[in-house]
Amino acid sequence: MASQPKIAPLPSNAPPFAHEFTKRMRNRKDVTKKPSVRQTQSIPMLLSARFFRNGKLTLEDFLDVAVYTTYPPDQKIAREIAEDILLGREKEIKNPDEQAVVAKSTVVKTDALAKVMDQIKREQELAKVIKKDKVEAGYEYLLELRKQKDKSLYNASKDYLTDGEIVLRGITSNEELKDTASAELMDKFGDLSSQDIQNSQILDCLNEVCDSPNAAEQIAASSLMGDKDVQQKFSDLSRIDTSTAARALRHMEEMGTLTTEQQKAMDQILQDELDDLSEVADYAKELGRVPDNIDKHIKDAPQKFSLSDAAEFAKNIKESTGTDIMDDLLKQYDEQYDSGADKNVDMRQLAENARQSESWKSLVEKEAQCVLDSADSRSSPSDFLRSVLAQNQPLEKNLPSQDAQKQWDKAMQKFADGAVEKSPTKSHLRQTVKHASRLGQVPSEKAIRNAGERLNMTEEEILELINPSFEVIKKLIQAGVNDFDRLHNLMSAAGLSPQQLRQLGDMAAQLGNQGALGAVAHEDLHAALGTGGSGMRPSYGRASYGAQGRPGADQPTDQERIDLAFGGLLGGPATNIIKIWYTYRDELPPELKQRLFEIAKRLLIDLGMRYARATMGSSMLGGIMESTTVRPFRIGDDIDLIDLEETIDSLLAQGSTSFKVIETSDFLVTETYQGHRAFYWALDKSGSMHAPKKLGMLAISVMAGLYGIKKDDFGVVLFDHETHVVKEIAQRTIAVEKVAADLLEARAGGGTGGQESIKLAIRNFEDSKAKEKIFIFATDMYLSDQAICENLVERMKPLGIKLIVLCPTGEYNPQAAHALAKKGHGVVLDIDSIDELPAKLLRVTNY
Amino acid sequence: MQKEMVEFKKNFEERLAAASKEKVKIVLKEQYSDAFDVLHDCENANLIPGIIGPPGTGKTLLLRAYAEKTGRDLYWVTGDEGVRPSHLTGAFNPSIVLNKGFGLEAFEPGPLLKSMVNGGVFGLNEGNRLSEYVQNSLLDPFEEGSISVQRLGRIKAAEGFFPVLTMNPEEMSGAHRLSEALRDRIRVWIKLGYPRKQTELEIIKMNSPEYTISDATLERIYGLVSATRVSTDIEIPASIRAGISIARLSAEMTKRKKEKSVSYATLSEASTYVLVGALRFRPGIDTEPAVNALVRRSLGS
Repeated sequence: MASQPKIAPLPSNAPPFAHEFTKRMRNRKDVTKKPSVRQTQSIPMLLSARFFRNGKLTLEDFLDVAVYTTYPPDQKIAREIAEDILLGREKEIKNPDEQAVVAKSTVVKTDALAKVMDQIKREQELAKVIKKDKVEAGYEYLLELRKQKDKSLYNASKDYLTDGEIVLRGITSNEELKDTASAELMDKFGDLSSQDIQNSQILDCLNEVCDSPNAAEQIAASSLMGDKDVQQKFSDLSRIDTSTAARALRHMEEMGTLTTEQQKAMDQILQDELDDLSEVADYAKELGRVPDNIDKHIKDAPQKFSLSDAAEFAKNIKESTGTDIMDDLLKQYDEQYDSGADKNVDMRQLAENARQSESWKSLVEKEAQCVLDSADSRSSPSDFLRSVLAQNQPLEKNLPSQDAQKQWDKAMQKFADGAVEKSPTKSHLRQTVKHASRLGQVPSEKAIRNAGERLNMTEEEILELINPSFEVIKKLIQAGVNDFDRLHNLMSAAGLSPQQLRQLGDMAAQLGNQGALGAVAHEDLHAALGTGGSGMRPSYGRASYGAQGRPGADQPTDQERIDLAFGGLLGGPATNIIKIWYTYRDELPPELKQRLFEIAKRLLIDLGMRYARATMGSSMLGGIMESTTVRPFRIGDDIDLIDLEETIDSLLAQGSTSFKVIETSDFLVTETYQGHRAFYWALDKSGSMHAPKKLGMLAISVMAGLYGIKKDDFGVVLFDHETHVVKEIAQRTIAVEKVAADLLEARAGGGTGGQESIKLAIRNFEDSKAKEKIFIFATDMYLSDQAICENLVERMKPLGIKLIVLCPTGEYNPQAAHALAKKGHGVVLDIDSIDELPAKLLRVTNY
Repeated sequence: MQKEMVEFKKNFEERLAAASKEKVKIVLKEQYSDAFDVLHDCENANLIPGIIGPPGTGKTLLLRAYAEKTGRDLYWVTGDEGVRPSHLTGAFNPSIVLNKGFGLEAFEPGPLLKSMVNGGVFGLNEGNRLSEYVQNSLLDPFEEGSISVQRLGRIKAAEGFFPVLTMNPEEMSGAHRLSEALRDRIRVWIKLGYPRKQTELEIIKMNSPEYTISDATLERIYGLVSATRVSTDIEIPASIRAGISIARLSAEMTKRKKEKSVSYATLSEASTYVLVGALRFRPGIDTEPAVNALVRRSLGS
């Protein structure tokens, strides 16, 4: 290794340096932008400007200039190469390539370590070269310093300078050492420790610390200096800023500059100035103890702070001092609830700060009552309570103890009952009961009965709400009720067996009750059609349809019943019909299957359109295009955009005959707009996705995507262990019907390999000219090639591709999903039902 | 009506004078002083610099200060896809053209032409967001210091014309790339990051001269803004500007509430008001609850 710089820092050496530097940069394979001739010119130009400004050049100027003239992503490499040239490390230069080969095979750890070692080596060498003559002198001085009996200076300076630095910087005297160490110490102003302040005395910079921009450091330094007016200064500071004063007091206590009386007096001053619990928390953090008057502050807290804020202070106080004041705080919030503390408490904060204490329980009860009372002042009390229930019910599972959960449950029961009792109409009551039950909070029988009686419901109607049973439904069908929603709600709530559904289906078919038959179909298609087999019980006669489509033992003989069932099916939610298709497609005879397929296809297309409108609208985000519309000219517009024909036309239409009086806005220019965006969907149809709900949801979301961005680029691929391309972005024209059919025929099976679809997506995006690129990866994330996929998605951010991992809620692998999203700088969207898709997708894309 | 116009004219002139008297407030330390020196070198060496730094690290302020110290005006433009060459050079006012023809009096010059003619500093903010066509139209003025104005002829820039590009490091790659040709014309790349704690606190203090803000409050504000810069949930963290806004807003709120110093509640209220708009979270994260949690966590500790 050379000990002399190869290039002396003279202006005449700038051109050869620049030439050598750019040459070596061009030879490196890892630079993003190869330097052009312009950079070779720039280096000497910038160096001479420096020379004329400073009157001299140093090696560091050469280094700086090489770095500054390099494109930012390559500046690290530039520094390395410039150092190599300046230090004359020719031989080593060849090594990095070889090293790189070896490094690839070694583990990452050694790689990182080698990097650090390299850096240290380089810095040391640089320092050696630059100040070589001084280094020896520095070393001599260090030896001498360590031999000195009085170690105080050496010890104080060690906090700021290592032995190596003393040597490298060529420090040769105590004065120089003090100056250098002081400068380092003063750089830490605002963050000084008590030890630093004490060191400043030895390093002769205590006076400077007295002028530190930080008041705590000023006072502590004055106190160390023995200033008489420290107490006065301290009390002035305490008046305006107690936490800085607490820090000053801590410094003084740690340095032992105060007598016991002084310390007590100052502490008292400070404690007297503490205004509230937040200042108490600062006091505790600095001094590691609580003030004597903490009880007073606890008592004041409910009027000043929200419960969450107060709890945060209590947590900090506990961490700094070990004193737990949370129970006392809750007690105060409870006692003062009626005298103003209610404003600072709500259910969410109570859930976040649950404790095993009577005060907490009492607070929950009071707050719940308060919410119930306030419901009456709302426009719709029942809806308000329903939404309160929906917000707070899920918080129960995070509560720390069973006792707390029990208390919470009581409050939730009150909300559920309240919502039922305040329902204004029969149908609202039915909905409320259903809504609350779905949330897991079944309203009490008494509440339902009271509400039912108030709304003049019959005994049957009330019973139907309290206990939706087979018998009730049967009676309703017999009585000719054909309200699809009502019957379907009851059937799903009652949890009927296939046999019971079959009975209901038969009865509805006999009576020609289409609504009822439709409701049965939505629960079990076989029961409605009267065919064998069951979606829920696959073994039930599934194999009975041979290639000829021969009917099974109890095959439908009745065409009328089939028509009725399919008609009734359409009365239900379309999303459910898509799900039904995926459930029953393998269990139906060919003609019925075809019929269901046609219905599902039509509905899938309709659903796509509907969700597309709700989700995306139509936006354009791409390059500038000229449109066919015109608008008035604004100053700054390109004059070439003026459409003379339209302008003259509009002037004549306005009745102008002279062009002498003409406004700027009379000119019409062609409107410009921005181009398009590109979407690419990769849809997982692997074995783990084998659930009608998952497949149905994803199919609809793809259709919605297809419709929403008809004008934009759009591609779809289905994948399991192999990939099936439905539509590439480049295929401009493809029938919607074909996509729908492809999606409906998608069959889950096989292992999951996502890499091919991601590669396809990247290739498609690279060919697309769209400005905004969005890749939607719809899967449950049980991938067999997770690692490869992660590597692939890493390339997306630099290409400007936004990654959205779309998963079915509760049925996906969250760790894998988040890991993938993190690598691709993307986001995980889990949706429980297709209805959630528009809102959620809207939040992560900018439409 | 005429009285109103006279009044307006008088006040307008007063304001003009006030603007020209106002000095740029900048803490020229550390990276800023280095960058300032390099800008000087670039101008002397006739090289075009690019300043790279996240939003709110003082890129524009540095340029303003540079222009002021060298006694010139700063003209600047922020790039986006909608900017066209005529927005930079200027355009003819068609209604005047119709009566007086294509002459100088019908021409309204844009910021680039103004700075070339008057010899000023031209700051091109987010130049990478300009369309490639517009970026390439800058090659001639940047490289040769000359520009051809439609129907008026080619002009050579005045002596003091100094173009500088500023941009966000996040966008060095990705959809908004600098065109190859323009990138090659930017000869020097100056990186600006967030300053060190003491410098940032000094900047906040300097920008709130009318308030006395305690050290503890300043520390808290710094703690909060620096927490946003390390959080992985945040795409665009709090800039120095956000720190200044929190300091000023909380001090003003304290004044209104007649409190002796900035209390916890006031600081947390002011921080929330500022940060809800100043931060951009990763998609899928709700801003308001996230800001509340961040403020509570950072100010409480």
